[in-house]
Amino acid sequence: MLVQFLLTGLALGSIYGLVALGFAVIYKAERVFNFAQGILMVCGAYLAYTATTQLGLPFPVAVIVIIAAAALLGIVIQFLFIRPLSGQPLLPVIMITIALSIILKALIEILYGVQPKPLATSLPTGVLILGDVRLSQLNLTAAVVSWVCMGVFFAFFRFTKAGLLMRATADSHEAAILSGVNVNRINAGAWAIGTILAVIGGVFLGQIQLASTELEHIGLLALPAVVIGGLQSIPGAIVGGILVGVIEQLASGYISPKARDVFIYIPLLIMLLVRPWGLFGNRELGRV
Amino acid sequence: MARCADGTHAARRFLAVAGAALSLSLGFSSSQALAFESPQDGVYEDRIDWGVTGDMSGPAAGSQHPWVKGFQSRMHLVNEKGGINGRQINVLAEDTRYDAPSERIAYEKFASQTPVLGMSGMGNSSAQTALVPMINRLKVPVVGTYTTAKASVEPTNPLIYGGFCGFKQMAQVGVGHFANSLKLDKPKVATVHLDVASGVEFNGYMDEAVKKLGGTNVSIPIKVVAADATPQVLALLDAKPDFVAIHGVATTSLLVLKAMQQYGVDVPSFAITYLGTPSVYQSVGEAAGKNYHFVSCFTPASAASPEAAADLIAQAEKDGHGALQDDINFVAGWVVAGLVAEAITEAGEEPTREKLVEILNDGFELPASGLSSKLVYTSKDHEGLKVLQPIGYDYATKKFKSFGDYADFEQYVN
Amino acid sequence: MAATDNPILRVDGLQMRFGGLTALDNVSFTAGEGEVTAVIGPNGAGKTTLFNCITGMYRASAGRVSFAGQDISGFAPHRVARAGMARTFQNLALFPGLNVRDNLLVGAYRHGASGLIEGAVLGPRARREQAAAEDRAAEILEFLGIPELAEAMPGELPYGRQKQVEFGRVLMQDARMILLDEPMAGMSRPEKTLMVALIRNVRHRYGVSFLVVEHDMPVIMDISDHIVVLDFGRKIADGPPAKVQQDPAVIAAYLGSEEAGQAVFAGAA
Repeated sequence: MLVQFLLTGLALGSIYGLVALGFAVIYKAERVFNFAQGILMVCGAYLAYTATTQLGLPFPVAVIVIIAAAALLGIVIQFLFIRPLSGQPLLPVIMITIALSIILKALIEILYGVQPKPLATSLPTGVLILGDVRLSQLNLTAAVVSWVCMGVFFAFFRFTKAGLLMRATADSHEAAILSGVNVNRINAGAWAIGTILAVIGGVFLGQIQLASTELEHIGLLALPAVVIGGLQSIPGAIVGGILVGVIEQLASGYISPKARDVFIYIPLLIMLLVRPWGLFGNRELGRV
Repeated sequence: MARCADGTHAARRFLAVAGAALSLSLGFSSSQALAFESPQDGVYEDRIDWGVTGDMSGPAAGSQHPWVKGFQSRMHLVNEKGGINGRQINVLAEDTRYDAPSERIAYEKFASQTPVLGMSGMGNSSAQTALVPMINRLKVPVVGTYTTAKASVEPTNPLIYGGFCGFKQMAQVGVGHFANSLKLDKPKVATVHLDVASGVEFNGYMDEAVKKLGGTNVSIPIKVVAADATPQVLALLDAKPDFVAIHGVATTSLLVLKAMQQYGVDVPSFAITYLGTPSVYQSVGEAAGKNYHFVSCFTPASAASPEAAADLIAQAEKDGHGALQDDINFVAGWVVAGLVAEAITEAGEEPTREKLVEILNDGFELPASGLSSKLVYTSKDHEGLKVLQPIGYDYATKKFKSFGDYADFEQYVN
Repeated sequence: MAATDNPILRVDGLQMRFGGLTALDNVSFTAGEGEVTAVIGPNGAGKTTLFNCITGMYRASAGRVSFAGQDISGFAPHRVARAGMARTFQNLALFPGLNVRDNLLVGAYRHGASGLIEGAVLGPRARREQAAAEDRAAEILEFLGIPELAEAMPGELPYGRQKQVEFGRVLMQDARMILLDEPMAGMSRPEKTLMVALIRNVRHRYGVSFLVVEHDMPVIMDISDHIVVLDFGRKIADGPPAKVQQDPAVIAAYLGSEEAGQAVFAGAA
């Protein structure tokens, strides 16, 4: 039972971690606390619906279209709403992201209707049986893809030119400008990556359930995940996501579904009171 | 007659007030014009205003939006056929977002601001419960609720009439049918339900129905925004039920069904009416969906006889709702609009709220239409649609299939 | 005068007004290729405003700036940097979260031929560029005498070392001119000596031109080829150190009287 809960929690937590990672990338780049991350995830589920069901694209092509559309969406959001507010205090930018999430939600409901849409992707649906433990292949695929994405993401940051420029810009806008870096373009890139990560999470959650704007609530579990992990920290976002997934499973499994929220948000409160920079954050930089 | 006297009295009183206001106000002529154009019960020379509330953009929009569309489509058909006694039915739809305050505002509006003869919908059971005193005071009849809260029908309220299958009957028919067809003596049942008021209520009815057969029922709660149903299905494995009852929203029921399949829990299941939509069946897939049923007092178009469904299908296509014709909620809205049209017709040439209540409360009956079971209101019982049937889905033909006639399942209801 | 023969920077009639206040009033001068040009003047003379106008932080109200034959008036700061003009501040502009080598590499990557996308997926051209940049970073660290610090984080280093790292990043940018904003501020005497040596070495080795704002007169007199003096936003003198030092207008501007002013410059004589 315990192993089962841990593994399921790990699989789900990997998806949360992926979405949280996208959140952390955007936060690191522009210090934007992006409340639209949940709805960006929902966009992923609907993009998958459009690509596979409406356009009838073969799955590999659909994946490319979904990722390209996500990147474009992130870039457009950054260009239209975030760039003009650059240098403004935190609050107006937060309000913008909240407004954005409401607008995107309404647009989705206008474009697709309020009925949830079933996804018909070629993701596996069977079961993997390991002794007593049963894992859904879909959850397992989600976890593996999440880990691959995180790996690719780390390699990108660690070993590529664009990754270095992104790290540098996140570190100090001023120094980046003085070094001749086009900071706006780098930030647009951060939004593109953040959106892609959210959208991938959304495709999986949409497949596990339905494409529905209600998924936004699950996407917003990225918030406790990043706060617990440390806002500034990339590994923190992933660990935070996995923790949230595991806590969710253990709390609903051993106590009750309602207990889930208590056990997710109490660590968040404790973290904010005792260690506001999170598990992995930097004490000086990472205060919420 | 009473209506006329009332109207004259109201107009005279209004004139007195307007006259007093004349010395202060320059807007006399316009208020006077208004006074004669606005009968308080929403009945005009050429039209009757009827209110509908539902969640069209909030958390329950997935099911209530099609319901409102079904209601409107049916009224389009009524109007195209010439309306009722020469009057068109003008549906005033308010989006109440599954929210009690919005529901209250809409109801007040329907009472006086844009008065209506009556209203339908009110699909939020806690809002309904909270509004009962207000309904008793403002007296706009609520004919055909989307969900029927206990407080609305117990004790019987002359102003409120159910328009949806009740949770109690869902539990009775589901339990009765499965116990019978699986030949179970003392059935072991598990009920997976949302941890909200209606879920707990449904679980209570399950307890009752199962206990009557000497069986046992285990309650397994789930959250509305769950991402996974592993803990619930592990609890199912533990309980080893003969069959499972599911209360929830589309996403939670999907999670439960998929997780059941994942853990090889291959027992029959039935869900509450709201979950009988094609999209749930399509998402869950044939392997997990073939043993999944729902109980309903409405018949989706594809499971109904072609004659019974012809009008609905034609009108849905015409109104651009072709995709909704097999949605149980669209059918439910359609049926309730039919009920409303019938009640208005019976209320005579000059219908009033009072007359409408008289007609409905005094023993009102609609025969089974092929799209729903028979609807009965008596002065002691306003639940309306009490007989349900289990319905399944045929993946090969992509059509719903029923397991008999409503009459076959009447035995389980009491 | 070498500066006018072969200018790398030409400032022409630069004017900057903030509301009613004129911070720069028709300032024109040139800086010679490979030379150290100093901008001096009392506090509030407009030195920092001048730097901000040249580097694109401010948009001048009137006038032109041309650099290496290109009109850069109105360029955004990152474009000025890409044109080959690098600026360092009194505050260090380093990336505290990146190690010393990565700090240098950021400087190199802005002028690569491969774009961001190619850089992200590591195409062959991007890979070649990356290897070249890493070689160059090693060479510059060697030149600065700090090859062993490649993996260190800037925050762990003393101020003087950090300044060197910043210089290294600027050199990686292939800067043709470096703008130094009070490079000696807050430095001890030995640190200043090291800094002067660094400026000389860089200039010698890489042929970079410098434009310097600095208050330490002895240092200025020591390293400059050419001095521009501002007072109340106007240029009041322009020439080699020996000549500027003797200019009565300069001396008066500095301390309000010729005698006091002479004392200021005494140390540099």
